[in-house]
Amino acid sequence: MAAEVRSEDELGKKWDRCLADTIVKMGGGLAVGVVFSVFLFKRRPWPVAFGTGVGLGMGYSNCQHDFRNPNLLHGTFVKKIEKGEK
Amino acid sequence: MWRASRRVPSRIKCLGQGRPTSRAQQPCRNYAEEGADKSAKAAQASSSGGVGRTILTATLAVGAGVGGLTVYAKTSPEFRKTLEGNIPYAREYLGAVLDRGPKMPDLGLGGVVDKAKDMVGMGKKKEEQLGSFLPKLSKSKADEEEKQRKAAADTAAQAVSVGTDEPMPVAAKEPSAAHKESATKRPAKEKKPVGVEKPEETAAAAIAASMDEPLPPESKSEPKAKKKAEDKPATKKKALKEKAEDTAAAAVAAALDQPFATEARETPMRTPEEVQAKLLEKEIDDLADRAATLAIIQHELQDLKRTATSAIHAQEEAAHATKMHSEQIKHAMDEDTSGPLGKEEQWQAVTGAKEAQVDALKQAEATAAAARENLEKVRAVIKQGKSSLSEPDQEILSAEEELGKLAYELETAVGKVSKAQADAQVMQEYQALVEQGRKQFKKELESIMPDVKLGGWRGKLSEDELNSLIAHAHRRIEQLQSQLAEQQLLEKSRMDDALARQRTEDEKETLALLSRELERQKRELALAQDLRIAQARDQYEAEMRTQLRRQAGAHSEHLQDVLRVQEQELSSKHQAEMHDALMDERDRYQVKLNEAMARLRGVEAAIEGRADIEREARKAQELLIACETLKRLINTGNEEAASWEERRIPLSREVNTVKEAAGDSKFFQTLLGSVPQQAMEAGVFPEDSLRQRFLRVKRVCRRVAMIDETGGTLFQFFVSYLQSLLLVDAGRRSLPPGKEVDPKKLDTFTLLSYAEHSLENGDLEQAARFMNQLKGEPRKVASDWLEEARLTLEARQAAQALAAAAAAVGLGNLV
Repeated sequence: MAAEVRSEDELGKKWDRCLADTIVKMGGGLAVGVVFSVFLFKRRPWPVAFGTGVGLGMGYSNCQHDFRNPNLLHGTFVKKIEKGEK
Repeated sequence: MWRASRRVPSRIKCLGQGRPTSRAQQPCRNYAEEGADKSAKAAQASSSGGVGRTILTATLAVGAGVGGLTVYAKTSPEFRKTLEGNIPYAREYLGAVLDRGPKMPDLGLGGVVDKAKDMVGMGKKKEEQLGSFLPKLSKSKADEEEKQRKAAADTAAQAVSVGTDEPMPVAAKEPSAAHKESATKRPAKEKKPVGVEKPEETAAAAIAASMDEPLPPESKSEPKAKKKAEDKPATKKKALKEKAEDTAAAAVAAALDQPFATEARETPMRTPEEVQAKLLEKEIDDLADRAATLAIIQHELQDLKRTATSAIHAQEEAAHATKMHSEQIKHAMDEDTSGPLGKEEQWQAVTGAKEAQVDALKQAEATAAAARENLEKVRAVIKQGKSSLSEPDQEILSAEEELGKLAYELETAVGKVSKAQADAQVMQEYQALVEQGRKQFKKELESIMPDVKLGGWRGKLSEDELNSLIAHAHRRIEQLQSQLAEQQLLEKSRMDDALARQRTEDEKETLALLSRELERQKRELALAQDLRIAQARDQYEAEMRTQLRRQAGAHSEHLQDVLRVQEQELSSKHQAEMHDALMDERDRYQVKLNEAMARLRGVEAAIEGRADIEREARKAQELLIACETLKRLINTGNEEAASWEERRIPLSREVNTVKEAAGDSKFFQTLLGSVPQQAMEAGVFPEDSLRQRFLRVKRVCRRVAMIDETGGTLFQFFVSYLQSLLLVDAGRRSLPPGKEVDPKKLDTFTLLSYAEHSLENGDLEQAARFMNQLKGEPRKVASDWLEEARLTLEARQAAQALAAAAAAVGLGNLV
């Protein structure tokens, strides 16, 4: 994250993030739904849809949250590296 | 392939094969046979003489060629030279073949040795002839003439032989045979003794060999003793001189002279060595002259002594003999009556004495003549010696003295002889008278008594005869008495006459004697004078020499002193002058130096000033350049950048350059400080890139135009996006902002369009101002751009200020 993010690109990035997150969530939800559908609900389609919807909703919600509070920073964990290890 | 296709010549193929046995080798068989036949034939042909013939013809051709070349070389010296130059050993060959005739000038050592040998041989011969000179004196004049001719022949033969360079001893052996050739050789000889004077050795050979008389042909017909004597000593002297020179001078000089004796050249060519040799010879000449003269004189003197003594002896003998004769006669006359036998003996004795006298006289005459000759010769020699030499030598004078003495003695002896002869004459007269008387008597007796023979008084005489004899005798006596009386009468007168005659004779004799004595005295005096003169001269000369030496010594000393003093003077003067000159020079030089130094300093100062100015100007220029560079950089950025994003260049370098160029100027430092740090580190975007960036910014801003700072929901974003899509921006772009703009009426779109418009017009500042009015989310979106724009503007402002300042400074410096 050394490269600077230009302000005009910030929104774009935000949107990318949002989209990526939504897709991921949707994918996750889909996956869970599929799993549920396969294992628990005897291959019925509704868990997949449900899961996807859940994913989408989550993503949307996250996006919205992000867009509403733009000043909130997204932090990352940095692993502390000892001097001995390189 | 090549090997296979090559066809081996069949003959060569045959060589590889041994015996022609198989059929495959059949083709070779013929060749072998043919070859054998051919070789046999060739052998036969050679044996019949082909090779020999060729060899013979080749030899003949070569010999003919060589012979022709030799002959041509003989005729043409140039050709000979070319031959000698081009063909090795041709010189030796041609020399051996061609040079037996008249020799070319060749200064080889062999020739010198030969000539030296010749000289030695000739010298020996000369000595022989010198020794043989004396016996020849005694021969008659006819013999002498013979000798002359022989000598002339010698001379001629020798001279000719010299001319032709035949070996000298051989030619010298010819004299005995060559005197018949004298007639033909005389004209040659005539030339040679005159012309050959210069090659003295050859002249020596010619002249000395014929020591006797190499006379000029005119006097040969009438050899006068004196002239002969003169020539003899002259030539003998020359001969001896030459001999002395031979022994003294080197053989080299002889060799040098020899070549020029060919053909009796009157004016031989001389080289510097020649001249040197000539000078040497002249010196030797002088030395030898004296020695020769002395030697000659001594020799002659000895000769003379001998001859003189012999002559004197002979004279004395002659005188004695004459005296004896006359005595004998007297004796015979006086002792008339002693006895017939005794008379016979006496008369025999008389005749014997007469003969002896005659012999002695002859001898005396001859010797006297010879002695006189010698005398004259010696006198001439001495005269010559005296004349040739500068001062009469002591020895010459003593020789002269001896000469005088001998002459005197000779003369006295001769006088004695003449006196004796005179006496003898008297005696003879007396005898004649007596004889006459006797004859008369006999006649008278005969007339009276014819039968009577004197001395034949055999038998007795008759009385008549006796009487007539007595009468005759008486008559005779009377006659004689009367004659006697007459005689007595006339005696006195006769006596007087005789006395007178005697007196005259005596006078003459005394005169002669006197004259002789006077001469002798004169000679002695002259001799003494000469001697004294010589002594005195020697003395004076010695004195003068010593004086001169002393004077020379004194003079040289004086000169030295004077020179020393002068040297000192001059040196001191010179020193002073030098010093002065040096001082002058130094002063002048100093002055010049000072001038130069002053000028130099002036120049330096000027240069320094100029340098300062230049430096200032340069600095200003640098500054200006740096500022301009900064400005340009800010305006254009990195031109090689691919896209507008990368057109940032850190300004730090240029700013540093400017800082350096600016130096200590506070103004510039301040200005430089106003350049934002980020611009220094990260660089600034040029306006173009900002413009390009602005497009994007504008798009994004338009999309989020409805959202404010607090953020918005997605729905709002979506709506705002929709709004941006629906709102058309075409008209407002070109709308120029009025003079006054109401800030409350500005919304995002307006602002954006205004900003774009101003950007398009190149007014970044205005655009930035406009962009600064954005609110809410668009502001956030445009914040970076705005930041960049602000940076750029700041930097640009700073750069512009710097450039202006630099320009001002530069201008100021120019002025």
